[in-house]
Amino acid sequence: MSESSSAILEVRDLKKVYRSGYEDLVVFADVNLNVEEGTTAVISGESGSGKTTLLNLIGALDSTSDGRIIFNGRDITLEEEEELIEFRSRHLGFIFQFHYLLKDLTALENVLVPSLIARLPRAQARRRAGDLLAQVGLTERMDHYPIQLSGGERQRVAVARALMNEPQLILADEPTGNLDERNSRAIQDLLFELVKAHGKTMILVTHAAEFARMGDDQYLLEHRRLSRV
Amino acid sequence: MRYSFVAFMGFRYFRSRRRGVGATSTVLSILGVAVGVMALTAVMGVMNGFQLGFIESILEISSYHIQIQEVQGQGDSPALVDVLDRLRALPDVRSAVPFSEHQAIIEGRFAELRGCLIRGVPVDVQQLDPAFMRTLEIVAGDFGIDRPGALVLGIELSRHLGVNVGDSVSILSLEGPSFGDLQPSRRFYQVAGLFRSGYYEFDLGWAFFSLEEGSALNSRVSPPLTIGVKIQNRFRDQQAVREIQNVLDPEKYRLVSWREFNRAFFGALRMEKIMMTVLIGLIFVVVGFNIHHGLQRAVRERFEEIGLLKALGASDAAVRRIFVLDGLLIGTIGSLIGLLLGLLISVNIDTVFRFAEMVVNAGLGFMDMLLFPLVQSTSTRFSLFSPAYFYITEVPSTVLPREAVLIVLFALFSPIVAAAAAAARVKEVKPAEVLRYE
Repeated sequence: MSESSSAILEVRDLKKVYRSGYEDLVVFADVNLNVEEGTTAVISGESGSGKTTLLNLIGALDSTSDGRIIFNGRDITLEEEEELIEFRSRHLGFIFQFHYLLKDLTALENVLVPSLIARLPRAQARRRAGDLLAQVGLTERMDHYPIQLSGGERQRVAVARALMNEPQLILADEPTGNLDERNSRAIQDLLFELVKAHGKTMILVTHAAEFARMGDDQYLLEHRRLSRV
Repeated sequence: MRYSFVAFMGFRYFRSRRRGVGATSTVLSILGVAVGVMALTAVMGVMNGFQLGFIESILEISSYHIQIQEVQGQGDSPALVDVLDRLRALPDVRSAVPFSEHQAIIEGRFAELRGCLIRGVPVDVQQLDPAFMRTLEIVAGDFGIDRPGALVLGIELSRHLGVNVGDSVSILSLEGPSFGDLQPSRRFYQVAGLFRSGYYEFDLGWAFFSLEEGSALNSRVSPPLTIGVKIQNRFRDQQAVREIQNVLDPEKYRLVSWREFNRAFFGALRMEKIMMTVLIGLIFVVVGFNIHHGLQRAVRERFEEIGLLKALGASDAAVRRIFVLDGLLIGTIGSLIGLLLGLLISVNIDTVFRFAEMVVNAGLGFMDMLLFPLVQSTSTRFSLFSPAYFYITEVPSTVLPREAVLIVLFALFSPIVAAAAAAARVKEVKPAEVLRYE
């Protein structure tokens, strides 16, 4: 089934078609991708090339038109919604271009949310959330609400949130796309540092060439095809 | 310790709605539930006060809990004494009293004749059935039916007849050994006392004398001697009927429970209560719409957050429960406030009415003062429950714990259903669509 025994994720002949009236809009087709455990795969491409759509399919947030996505040997394209919910909660960490922090929760509580969904013991989760916030340099800002944090700080909280349940795979969709240069660089460094430190696998979608070069494998999504760079 | 995601998010969202844009809607929803529960508790309390007063009077004075009649009414004394002994020996039986009833026309000092029902009871009824005497308030004279020719009249009946304690009244009844031989018979009695039962019909149309006076009338149109039984718990009447049937021959005695005996009247009281509950309960429908509207807006405003929670692994059902919890909190807080206020009003209902009368009368007085040059003052004082019109001196109120619980559950049902309906849109939220930052 897999080309490589250490691949945590295999994408086989993936196709996504959006139906628009009587027309079919093919976003991409025959997309193949192998991501080895503990590595970072970076996907680049022009706006509208389908990078986010590909990430959403891998993250089970959207349904495929054809092809298979195999995560640790399980074909998630064949799974029911309940299994996908458990898959997202236990195995994935999401970082979006926008932080999407819950405005009524403090930084610490925002980081805790995935553990509450996964029903992890609270005391243990609280300790871990505190540690993660410390690792992203926000020890002093734990009890602050998103509105009291800067853009860079909010994205740091989002990074900590993505790592909360110790997911095997982190899906990062242009995590610095909404930040100024200084904050972008800081988040890039932080993200790669943490992913390495925690031994995580990451698929990163980015426009930034410098950011892309930090990955282990680089891919380009253009003309509806994904090719290795 | 595992901390529920739904509880955590629900409380946070509720706290934020209390402070944020939805604050007015939340406060109005809580107030709506509170007003509904308060109104239902207070109204049910007053209705219970009146109804239980009526029911108490009817059961203690008139119908008893179970009536036992001989199918072939011989009414011989040795058999009756034996039956009474057997009944009084039963653990559930509180009292067993024989009585007779006689329809008659009564005349006092005025020319007006009135029909009345005279009940013959044992002269020692005060010892045999203390609850009967507690319910029957003797307002003049005494219950001296042990004196020959003594009659105790309802207070309203005495007013219509124009008689008082010590006065004489005449009774016209039909007497004779068989229906064809009935002859009008006139007898004179002396008023020994006047009673008030709290139930106008009894006070206007009832009188008591001794069983011996009753048998002297010896009318075929009167039913045979009946035994009135009161039990410890009137709601266990069916069980008591079965117990009595074990000690009395079912073929010789007919048993009628209070539910059957008063079916029409108690049915009307129950229907009145149900209708009032439904009408006041309509408040909860309005409150439900308000909650639904508020939460629907909250769901719409939180589409992105819902999308994020779903992306992080929260199920549709879990996210829906967050909003249902919001409705539950509104219902719970509103219910508790309403219940507290309702109980306060119920306990102090007379004070509340006096205060309302005072406010209205002050307003009327002020209007009189303003309009004095133009119109003549009415000088009529407003009264919510005047004894002159309503045959009561104070407004009774009884809140039954079972009903209070039902009212609270009723009040919780509306917000929960409204919230569940509003939260149905959670299913429409697709994370891939709402989390697309452009």
